[in-house]
Amino acid sequence: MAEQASGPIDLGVWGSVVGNLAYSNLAREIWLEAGLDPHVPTFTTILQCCTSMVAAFEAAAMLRARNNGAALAMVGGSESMSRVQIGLGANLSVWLRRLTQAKTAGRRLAALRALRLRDVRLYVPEIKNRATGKSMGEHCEEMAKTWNIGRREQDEFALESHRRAVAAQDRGGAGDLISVDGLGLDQFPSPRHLAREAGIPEAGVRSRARDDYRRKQLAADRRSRRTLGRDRRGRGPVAGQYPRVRLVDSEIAAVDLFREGLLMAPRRGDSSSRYPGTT
Amino acid sequence: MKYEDVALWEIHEAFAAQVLCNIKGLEAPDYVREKSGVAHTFGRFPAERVNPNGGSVALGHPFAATGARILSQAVARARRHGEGKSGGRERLRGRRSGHRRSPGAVMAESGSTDD
Repeated sequence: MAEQASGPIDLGVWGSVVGNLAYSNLAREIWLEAGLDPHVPTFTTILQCCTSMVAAFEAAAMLRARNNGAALAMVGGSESMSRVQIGLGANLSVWLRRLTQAKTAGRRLAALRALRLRDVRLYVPEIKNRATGKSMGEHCEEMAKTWNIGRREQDEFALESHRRAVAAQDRGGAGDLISVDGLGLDQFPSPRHLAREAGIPEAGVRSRARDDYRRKQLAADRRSRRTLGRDRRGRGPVAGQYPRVRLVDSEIAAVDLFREGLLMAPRRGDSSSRYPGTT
Repeated sequence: MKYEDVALWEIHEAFAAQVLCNIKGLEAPDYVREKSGVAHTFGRFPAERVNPNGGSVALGHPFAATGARILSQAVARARRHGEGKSGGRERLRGRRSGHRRSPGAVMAESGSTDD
């Protein structure tokens, strides 16, 4: 559809945070599965919550450099936290590989005997950050205490986020992005209920209400797939509609996650990249 | 440049508390000086301009897709202004433009690089 609107796509950058054993380059797999031109370079990128925004920055830099004559890129990201793949522990993986590589019955028997019970472990990806050993919710809980952010303040912010999303939908400003209904502050679960239900600290925002919104969002996604590229009057994309904005600058900075946690963003970057003419 | 020169702030809402902590940080002179190395001369932070169409708390947070959602939402809002029709069209107002043809700078931020 993008190609119909703006001509051939020259580059594809797709993001994915949680890996899968079946592939290493999700972007390439999606591209080929869609039956698109295999000559188009397509790669996957990862930078946690920033992933697909970084994908946009990477694509912008490559367009600016006219990589292989590229003038149009497609960027996005994909995630399915409910289908996270479980793998074998490192030692079990090594043992299984040696077993399958054994050429003779004797070597296979020796490999079988080499298995130690303590090596029989599965690798289950955790939400916790490997370096700090804490989840995002735990880090956020610490931040909320440090900055003296109360529960009611958080709930009011969350409610306002919902209200704005609903208002945007009513205005038609959200397109097919969301499909949500009104919600009152009294419908937010109590912090105690949240913690009990989700097994996370009070600062977590997971709730039944949010899960319900997610279900509606998925339904909206299905609808948007049917109407992708069409405006509210059902008209298809028009050649020459793009580009719509100009990316003039971007910057990526990191914080000391051991001292500041994972989510405290303000920091002055040491360098920036400018994209004159990148649209 | 002042905070209010930015007409639209799109900030990832991993948690409500996270956004509130970051806004408090942006408003705190000592914190700004420590993190940026410059004095806080940016004025009031326009919290009302943050995520005017809702954020990840309402819309969900599929890790790898959130940055594109935030960017496209900012683009869509800037585009609606760029179409420039009065009456029914949203307008982005900034006191000063970062680009001579833009209605006001747009800033999109998609959260932690570590999680």
